[in-house]
Amino acid sequence: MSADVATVIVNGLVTGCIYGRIGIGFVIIFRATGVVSFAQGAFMVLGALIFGSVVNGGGDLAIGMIAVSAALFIGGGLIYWLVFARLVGSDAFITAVATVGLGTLIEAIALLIWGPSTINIPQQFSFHRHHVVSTLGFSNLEIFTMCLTVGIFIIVLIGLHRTPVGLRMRAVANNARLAAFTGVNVVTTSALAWAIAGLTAGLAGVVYLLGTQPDPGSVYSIGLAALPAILLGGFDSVPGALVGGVLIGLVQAAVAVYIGGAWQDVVAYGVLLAILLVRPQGLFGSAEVARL
Amino acid sequence: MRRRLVCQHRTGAFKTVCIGVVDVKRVLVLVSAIAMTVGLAACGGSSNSGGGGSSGSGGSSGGDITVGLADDLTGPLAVYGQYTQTYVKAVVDYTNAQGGINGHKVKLVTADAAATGQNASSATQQLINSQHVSAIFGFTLSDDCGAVAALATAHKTPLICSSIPPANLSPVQKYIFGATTVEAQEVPATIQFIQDHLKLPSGTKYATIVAGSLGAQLYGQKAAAAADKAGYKQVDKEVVPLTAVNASTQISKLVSTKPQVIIAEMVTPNYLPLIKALRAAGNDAPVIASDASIGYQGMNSLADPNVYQIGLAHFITDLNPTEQGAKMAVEALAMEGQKTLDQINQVLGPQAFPAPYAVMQALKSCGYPCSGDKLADQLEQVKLTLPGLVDGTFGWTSDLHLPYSELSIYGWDPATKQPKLAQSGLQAGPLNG
Amino acid sequence: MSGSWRHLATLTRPNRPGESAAVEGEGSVAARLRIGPSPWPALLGVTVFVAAVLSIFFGGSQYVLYEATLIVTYGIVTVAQDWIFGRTGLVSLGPAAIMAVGAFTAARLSTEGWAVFPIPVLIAFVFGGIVGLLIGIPGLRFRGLYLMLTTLALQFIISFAAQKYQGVNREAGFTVIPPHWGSLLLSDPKPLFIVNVVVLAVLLLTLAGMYRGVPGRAWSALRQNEAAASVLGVNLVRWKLMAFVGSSAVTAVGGALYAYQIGQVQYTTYSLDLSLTLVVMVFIGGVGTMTGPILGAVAIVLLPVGLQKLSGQFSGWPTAANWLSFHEALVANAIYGLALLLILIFERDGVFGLLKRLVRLGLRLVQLVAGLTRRRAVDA
Repeated sequence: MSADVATVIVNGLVTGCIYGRIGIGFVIIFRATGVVSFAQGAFMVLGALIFGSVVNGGGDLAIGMIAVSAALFIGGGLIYWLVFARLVGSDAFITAVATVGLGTLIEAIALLIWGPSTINIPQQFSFHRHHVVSTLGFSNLEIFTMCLTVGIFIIVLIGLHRTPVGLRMRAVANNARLAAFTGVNVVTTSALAWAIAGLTAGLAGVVYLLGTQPDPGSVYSIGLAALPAILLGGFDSVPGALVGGVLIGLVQAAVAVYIGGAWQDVVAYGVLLAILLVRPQGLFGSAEVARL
Repeated sequence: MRRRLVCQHRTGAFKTVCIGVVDVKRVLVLVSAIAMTVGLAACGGSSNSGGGGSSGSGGSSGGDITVGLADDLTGPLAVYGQYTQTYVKAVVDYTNAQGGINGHKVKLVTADAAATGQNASSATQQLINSQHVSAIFGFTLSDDCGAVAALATAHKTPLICSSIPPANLSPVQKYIFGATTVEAQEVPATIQFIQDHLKLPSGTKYATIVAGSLGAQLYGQKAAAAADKAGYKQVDKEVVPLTAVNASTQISKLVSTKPQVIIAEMVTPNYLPLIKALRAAGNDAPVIASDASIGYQGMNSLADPNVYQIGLAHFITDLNPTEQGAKMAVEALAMEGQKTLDQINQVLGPQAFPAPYAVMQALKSCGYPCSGDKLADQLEQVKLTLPGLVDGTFGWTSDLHLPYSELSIYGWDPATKQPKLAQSGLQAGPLNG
Repeated sequence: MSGSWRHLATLTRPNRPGESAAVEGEGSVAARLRIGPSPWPALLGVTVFVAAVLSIFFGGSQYVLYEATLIVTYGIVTVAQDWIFGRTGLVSLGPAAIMAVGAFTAARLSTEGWAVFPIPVLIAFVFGGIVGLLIGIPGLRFRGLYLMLTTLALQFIISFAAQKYQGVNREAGFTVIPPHWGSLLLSDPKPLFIVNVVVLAVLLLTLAGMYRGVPGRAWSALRQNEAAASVLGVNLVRWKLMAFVGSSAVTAVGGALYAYQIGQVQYTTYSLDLSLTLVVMVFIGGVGTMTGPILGAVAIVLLPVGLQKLSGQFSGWPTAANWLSFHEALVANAIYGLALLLILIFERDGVFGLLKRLVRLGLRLVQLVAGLTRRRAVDA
């Protein structure tokens, strides 16, 4: 296998996992509450900053991740209860704009507390590449992030389809009013959806921090990057977020290798437009979504 | 549906007048929102500050001298804007602690160029016309500096821009000064460093990797042209868009071409994966980053002796420096509560210290009140030596409004675990690289 | 929502047919000032507008003129955005990209000899309309989420195209040669302000007329229920396209005027951030109202200015003042995010709605006082 093809495959998968991590929270929120959330970037910033503080304060990787998970889980649920529970029934655009305001507010507060400088943590992973098949190799960090991503997806999917809580979430996602009639506490279930989405976004921020040396502003600006991937997978499909992410990741990697890195992002948006023209519900999305 | 109505019933010729219960929640929202919008709008909008003709006249009430900072204090470039702000404020506080400008206190006002609904022009307008500043610092983006140049010139207010477009430097514009260098000037220094210090022979394979901004792409092109001319062979060139979630594909491709030296200008977060990927592939090639790319903390995190950064001022590596220039910087930053080496060097190092300090010296020799005209003249007279901080003389000349004539390149020393000077005395190239 | 709120709402809206008029005093000023076919609110609005324009034009410093012009330019764009998503219900996240089209047009044409003002602005209008037509094509099919994604994609693609157009050698962008009109330099503060005000006034009058007539009813029907509107015979294609083309054309004009004010056009200005800011301006000011978008522009532009004045007041508490002035920008952002959330939750009509309530409250107090004095007069 040529080096270029290996580069495309490896990096396509890695980038795809990034999109998957950002996208899963997005999809969960959209399915459960119908909100298109522009605030995922802000949750990622919080995750990265909290992790940085914990690790610099003496904690290790596991403690950091647990702290982030707990904080963002609570935070996400709280935000739903405070803000979006009161916007139930509003137009989708209104809630989307509300998430813009929310994201701005959270980022401003985070920067006031932590400052805008680079988040520096001691190195957690080596970048040594293990060769798997001929020239196809992944570093420790990449293996960790890919496993984490797949793990998150498996846990969420099992949770959604095999637990009573998941059943309630799917009921609310499908038809909130009907679910309320059958006794499901819609507010609590929706808050749970937001809590999970916050958690996944926080972990996505942590992984981004592990691989680069970002300042909060850089973390915030990738919040919207996963939109083409989510659309490709289907806006209300959880596994679609990962599948779409990997596909877009592969396309972008191919563009970067064979055409030029400057084009990789605009190609993703070109793909988004193409999907909208051809099959708006994406690969796994449901047809009702298409009527939007 | 008349629950909880408070009514006053009157008989006779007059009808019932009822006033509904006032909902406290609504009134609170109403009052606070009114206070915010109408009140602030009234305050801001009615700032009829008596015409803008007398700007740059060096001060507001009470004999104070006001200087301004217009920069990206929020948004994706907030790191750089806040970094400049910290240094300018440190210099101002330090100057006041030393007795001010011939007895007059210095005041700093800031305006956020990246604020929602604002831009560099409106921020500059605010500083000039509403605050009557004597000089303005800031402008992390060279485009912003270029955009307000005409405004500043019309109001005779000197601008000291962190980044400045070459077009504003030649021909020299009286009121526009640069605080650092122009990217293109760093190209000859980079090539010279590769030849003299790294001693890489002709035919060495090189690669460039730059961010997707126009300035960085231009730097990459000019560096490649100069490297080709010096006999080096390009094996890869990569561009990482600013909106990309990661640079991993570009980095992987670059690593696979096995370059022997890498010239880079990326956004700071991406240096870590680049270096780590190279070293993990067994490639020890030196990486030379342009000015203001990696920074003090970045260099220490990377902890790699083969990573170099072009620099303008020396990193401060000693909390109690003996040399005067470094000593002043440490003292000034201590007044801002920045006491550790990480904090003193902030993100990019102390290169933001000399320019505001030079402006303070110019204000001192200008007299009070100092008109913009006179200040611009004085700025060309200031010649600073800041031992321990800057090599050679720091100052602007009537030929060139850039203050650094020499560049240095910093590597990293595994023994002291700090950045170390690798080569100094590199001449800054011509404006067109 | 709580009962008391609903009740307050019945007191403040026009009587529905069948509802007794005894809830409010029939002859009262407040009763006459209900929003609806009453001319008073419009007259009030026009008076305030004219008074503001005159006082700024004759009394304003250069800085005030600059900020006012900025507000009016944003106002032009936000009113156009309110047209497309406030009135017609078609989501658009790409106003900054369309502004870029207008701005680059104005900049490029400013160097051409034959491009005397207002020709570049008119050409920007046409180009904006063409972009609107392009958006309208998928817009005929989608209205909500997918239209939002389409316009988002367009925002990125146009941004990228603008960067390529600018090119590596033009890092600082295109300089806009100030347009002349005879001997008048149109980038001077006063002429530019007047041009902006005239454009905004024409826009408001045109839209007010359209909203009151058949187009307004068609758009309103479109917004509330597309399927029902279609069944009732509203020509969806025609009205949707008109909204897209019209609002995009106006937005491009706003971009051209913005370019004249800044004097320099480069692609990074017209980013997703600016698009989101413009959308938020409409919501903060009051979506679906005539003056709301403009009030939103006022609020957002003047917020940092107001905060700076505020931090100046704190000179008595140096640490607080220091902290505030150092972090002004972030505090402004936090306030703006919080204000948006509060407005979306509590007062959908935004600043406009709040001002309306203030006026009503004031009138009720006046009414009460008047009633008391009249009572005393009767008893005496």
